[in-house]
Amino acid sequence: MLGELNSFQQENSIQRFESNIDEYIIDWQINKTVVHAADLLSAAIVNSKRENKFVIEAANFVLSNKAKASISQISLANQILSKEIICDLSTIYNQVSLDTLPSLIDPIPVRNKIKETKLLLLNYPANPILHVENSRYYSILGQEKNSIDSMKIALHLAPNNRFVLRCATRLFAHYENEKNEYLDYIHNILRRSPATKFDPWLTSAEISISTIRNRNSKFLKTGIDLINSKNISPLNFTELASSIGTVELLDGSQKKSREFFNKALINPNDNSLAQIEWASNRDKQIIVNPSNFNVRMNFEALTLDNFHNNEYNQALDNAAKWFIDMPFSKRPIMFGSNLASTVLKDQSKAISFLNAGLVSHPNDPQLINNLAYSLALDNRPNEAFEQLNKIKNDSEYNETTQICLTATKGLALFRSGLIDAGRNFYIDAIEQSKQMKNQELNWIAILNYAREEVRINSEYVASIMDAVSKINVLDNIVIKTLKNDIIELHKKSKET
Amino acid sequence: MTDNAAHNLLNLTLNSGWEVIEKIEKTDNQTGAFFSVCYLVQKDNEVCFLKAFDFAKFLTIAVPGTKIVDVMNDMLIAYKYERDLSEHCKNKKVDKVAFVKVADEEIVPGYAITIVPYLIFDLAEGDIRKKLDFSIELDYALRLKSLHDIAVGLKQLHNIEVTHQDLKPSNILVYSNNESKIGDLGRSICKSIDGPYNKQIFTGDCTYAPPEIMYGYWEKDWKKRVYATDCYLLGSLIAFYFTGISMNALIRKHIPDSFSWEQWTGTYADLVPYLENAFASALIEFENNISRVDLKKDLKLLIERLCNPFPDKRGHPKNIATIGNNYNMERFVTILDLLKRRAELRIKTF
Ligand SMILES: Nc1ncnc2c1ncn2[C@@H]1O[C@H](COP(=O)(O)OP(=O)(O)O)[C@@H](O)[C@H]1O
Ligand SMILES: [Mg+2]
Repeated sequence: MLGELNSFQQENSIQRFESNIDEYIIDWQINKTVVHAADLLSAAIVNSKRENKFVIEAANFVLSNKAKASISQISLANQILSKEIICDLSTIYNQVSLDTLPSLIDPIPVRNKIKETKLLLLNYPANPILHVENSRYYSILGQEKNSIDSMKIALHLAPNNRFVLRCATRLFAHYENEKNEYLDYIHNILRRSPATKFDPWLTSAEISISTIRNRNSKFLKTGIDLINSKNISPLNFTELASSIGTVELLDGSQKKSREFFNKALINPNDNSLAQIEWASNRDKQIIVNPSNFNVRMNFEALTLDNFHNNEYNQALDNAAKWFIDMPFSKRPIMFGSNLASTVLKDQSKAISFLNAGLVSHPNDPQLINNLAYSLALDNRPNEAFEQLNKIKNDSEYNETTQICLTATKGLALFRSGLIDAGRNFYIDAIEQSKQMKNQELNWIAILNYAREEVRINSEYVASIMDAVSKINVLDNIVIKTLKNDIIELHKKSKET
Repeated sequence: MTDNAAHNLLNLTLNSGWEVIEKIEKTDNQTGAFFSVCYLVQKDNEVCFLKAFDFAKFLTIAVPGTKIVDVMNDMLIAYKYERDLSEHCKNKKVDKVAFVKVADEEIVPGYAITIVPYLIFDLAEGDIRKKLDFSIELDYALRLKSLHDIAVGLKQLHNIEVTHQDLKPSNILVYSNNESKIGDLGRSICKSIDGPYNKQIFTGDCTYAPPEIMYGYWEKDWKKRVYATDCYLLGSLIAFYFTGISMNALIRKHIPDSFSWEQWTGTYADLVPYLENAFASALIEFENNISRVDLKKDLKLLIERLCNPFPDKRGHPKNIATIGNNYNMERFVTILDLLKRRAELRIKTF
């Protein structure tokens, strides 16, 4: 996303007026009042002089005399001291963490936001940014059609606006499936937009969509020319270079592809780095170390990075940001809830994530299953059943999901004290996963089942622990954690 | 810098008979571009405000590469302009503008440059910033009375083809009878008098300049441009009276950094939605500062019309409909008069 909110060409050649704020500083030094302080702050924000020591002094002065200051004066002082971040599309994420997630995805405020935006639209019906914003709110609520419709309006209003086109590309690519033609739609718009020919960010989007659709891009040559034109700065062509590099790599011309990836690396951003990392797995001669580059990474990358460095709480917060960034994607929710539930064994955090996910993906069986699982582990079997009962006809879901649902029912039954019934469901799930030849799922089912038997110290403990000991996947953190936990639990139960 | 003659008038009795009784100190600094030094002067028991022009200071701030005679010339024009403009306004029913009472010059021996031209004005209590208090409940009547005065003053200036270009809190003078007047005509533009700035795109203080000037997308038609500027500046003043910050600050607060006037280099068309967005948010913020339910909506509408970031949409809709007359002040004077009386009435019934 970075880069699309700035411009790449110098188009208005007229020099801006240089202006200094000395006069305001002097007035403030002579008159130490809130009004003079705020006049200085106004001048400072208008002229980008926020770091000036007198400006900082004036901002602190306003804040320590709040009783004499207006709402706007206080807010401006906070903004100057960076204590207040204005909520625009690019900065909202700073406020997201797992703790604030529930309030952010609470449907009521989101619906209110939609109402507010609609009011603004009465005055500015042709403002595409407002429609983009509405589209995003709808996607948080899981209202795919409304979300797409709002984005289509924005596209009609500003068919050449980079920000709109790129937001639309991302949204349409995500909601794309066999039953709709979203990719077709956005691809047509990108191809038709006159801006695609000269805006490297859009050329890059067109080439990527062509690649996803397995087509030859008509803009490949244009893109190469843009990069070679020397009119565009490396940051502005980094994504274009990496998407051309990808095309070349897929075509088998490694030499050319490396040349473009190298250009992309002159001043990369999160997206181009991710692309180059992907490429480096295919072409071992491409060597990149993302931490060598000072780019703001996307939230997904940050989450995974935190995870690999065992910074789990940090990972959860970034997963929350990742979700708010892409409310239409289920992956941040699955990732966050699994991490919280299994590795951190913090069911309430997992439940937070899953509830958030269910707002944008209501009735999603996987999310419902995981929620029921966490509720049951938290010894709230009745609530777990309440969730499971929402699933009317599980035969329409894929086999893996069905097996998970069966196992979770087993868990909820165990925790309700209905041991025999629970055992039957688990045995079923284990059998089915074996038939499906899904080893991972099979092991996860066995481990979960084992924990329940160990907890009640049943007559089956010995045989199930034998099965557990045969499980030896060390690179799957979920399986590894589950296994270690059970061995611990078993040890303890033998001691007492 | 304080070695210059203009800084050393204290305790002198000028040829015009005025006795200089107090220097209004401004802590000077090296970069400062101020060439006026202010004093209180007295004659026949009347105390007035004197603005002395520091010619020597003008030399030191000369832009490298320009000739000293040119700088001297600019300076003289600046002084003559303010003097002649006041003369031009006199006797033309312009009573809400602070005029020059006396224009003269003093020779102060012993300095490199001995001549000090000066202007004397009626003494005000100060600029409006001293009068604005943002504790708890705002004094709406006081504010609207002052704004009405200023709108009237601006209308009067426009009537004689003068645009002010530098309307901002520090240039609004308040007198002991609670009357406000427009001060500092130094940056104004008058069709019939050659001014120091007539050839510039924008003559006022860039901190308060309307967005089209900030972004460099100004109106090419000179006349439209200068009237559109005054219109915005009046709106910005209203914003300041009620929020305590300028309209530019209100707008800038809501623009993502990459779209700000310092950074943006893209096309105007691409900028429009962001500027619209920021303006809409600024209006909402403006409204949040106003607690009086009976004034909220009207004041917001007023700002919306005066400060629209797009000059074509600026002004009263009924003016915009009649071509060539977009920025006429008449209707705004009427609206402010109405609001002023509404606010005063409230005080009486309390
Ligand atoms: N007539 C006056 N009476 C009292 N104070 C004044 C008067 N005129 C100006 N001032 C004060 O002096 C400051 C500077 O005067 P101004 O005419 O605006 O000159 P400048 O060109 O330096 O801005 C004003 O902001 C105001 O505070
Ligand atoms: Mg002034």
